[in-house]
Amino acid sequence: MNDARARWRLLRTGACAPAWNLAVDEALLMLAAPGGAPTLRLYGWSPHGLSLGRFQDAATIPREFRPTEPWTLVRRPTGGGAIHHANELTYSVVISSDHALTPRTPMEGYARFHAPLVRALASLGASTRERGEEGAPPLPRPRTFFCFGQSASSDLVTEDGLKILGSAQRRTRRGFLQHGSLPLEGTAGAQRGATSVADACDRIVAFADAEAAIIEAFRAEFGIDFVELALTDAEVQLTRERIRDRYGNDDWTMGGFRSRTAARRTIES
Amino acid sequence: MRPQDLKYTKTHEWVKVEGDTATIGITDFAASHLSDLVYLDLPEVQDSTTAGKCFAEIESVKAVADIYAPVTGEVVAINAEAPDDLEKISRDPFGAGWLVKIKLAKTEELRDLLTVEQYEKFVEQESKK
Repeated sequence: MNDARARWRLLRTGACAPAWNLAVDEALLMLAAPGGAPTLRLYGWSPHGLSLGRFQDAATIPREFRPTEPWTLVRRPTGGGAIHHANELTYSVVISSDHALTPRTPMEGYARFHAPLVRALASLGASTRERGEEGAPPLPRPRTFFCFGQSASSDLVTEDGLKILGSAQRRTRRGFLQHGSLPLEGTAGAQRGATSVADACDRIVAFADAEAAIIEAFRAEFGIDFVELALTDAEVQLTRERIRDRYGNDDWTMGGFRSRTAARRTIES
Repeated sequence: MRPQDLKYTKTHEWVKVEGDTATIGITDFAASHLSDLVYLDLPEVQDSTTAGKCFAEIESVKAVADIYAPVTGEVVAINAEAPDDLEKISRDPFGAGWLVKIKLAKTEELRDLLTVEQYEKFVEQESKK
C-alpha cells in the first residue's frame, strides 16, 4: 500500500427511506470538520421517493405524480428540480471547506466530481460527457418541474445528448455537499430527454456493479484510497434529529421557506 | 473597488453601520462565485439574527449556499425587491443588492468584523487556493 495516497471515507448505506437518505447527507455536511477526510457515499431508495429542490413549490407537483403511489415526498437541502428516485444509484460527496478539493464555484464542483462518474460510466460501457455550454439550452424559466426534464451545462449526457446524471449542491461555512442521481433502469418519472445506465449500456447493470465502478473511478481520478466505515453515533443521532425537524416533517417538505418572500417568488415563477 | 466604509466577514458578507442599524449584503466576491442566481430566501421583518448563524439562503445553478448574519439583532427591513430581481445582487452587491437591515443588539460584535484591507487580503488568499 502506498501510504502517500490520501484516504477518503467510503459509506455504502444501501437502499434506505427517502427522509433518511437526505438527512444523512445533511448530517454529514453539518458535521464536516476542518482537516477531515472527504466522504463518498453511495445509496439507493426504498421505498421510491420524489424529492423537491430546496426552493421548489410543492403545489407545482404534476397531478400524475401526486396520486396513490407508495412514494415518499421529501425536500432536498440542495437546489434544482424534482427527482423521482426509483431504480437509481445516488452518490454524494461531502468535503470540509478547508480541503484542497473543495470547489470555489458551483461549476468547478460539478466538473471535479463528475469526472470520476464519466470514468465509471465508461468502464460500464457508456460514453458520456458534460453537456457543456455549447449544447446546453438555457434553463427554462420557469424551469421544468423535473430535474431530468431539463439539462444544464454541467449535466452528464450520452453521445445522443440524453441526460444520464445531474447533480446539485449545498455549501455552508463548514463544508460542501454535492449529490446526484444515476438512474440504473428506466427514465424515472417519464422524464423526457433522459436515459438510464441500462439503456446507455444496452444491458442491466446491477446496483453493486455500478457502485464498484464508481468507487474504482474515484480512486483512479483522485489517486486516493478508501476506508469503508459506518455512520458514527453522532451522525446517526443528527440524522434522526434532521428527520424530525426537516426531512420527515411536513412543514419543511411542503413549505421549507424561511420567508413568504421566497415562497411568493417560487409560486410566481 | 470595494467600499472603504464597510465591514466584512470571512463568509463574504458586508455590513454598513448607521446609528444602531446595520445594512447587510453579500460581497462582489460571493456574488461572482455564485454566478447565475435563481432564488433568494430572506428572513422576515422582526425575525432575530445571531452573529455567525445562517439567516438567508441563495440558489444558483442547482447550488444552495448559506448566508451568515454578521451581527446579532432584529431584522427591521428586508430588500423585498431582491428575490424578484436577483440581478441587483450580481450587478450592485454593495448598493441596490442589499439584503436586510438589522437593529444591533450587541455593538461589540462589530469589533470582530474585517476592515476592507483585511478582507481584501483574505480574498487574495482564498483566490490562491
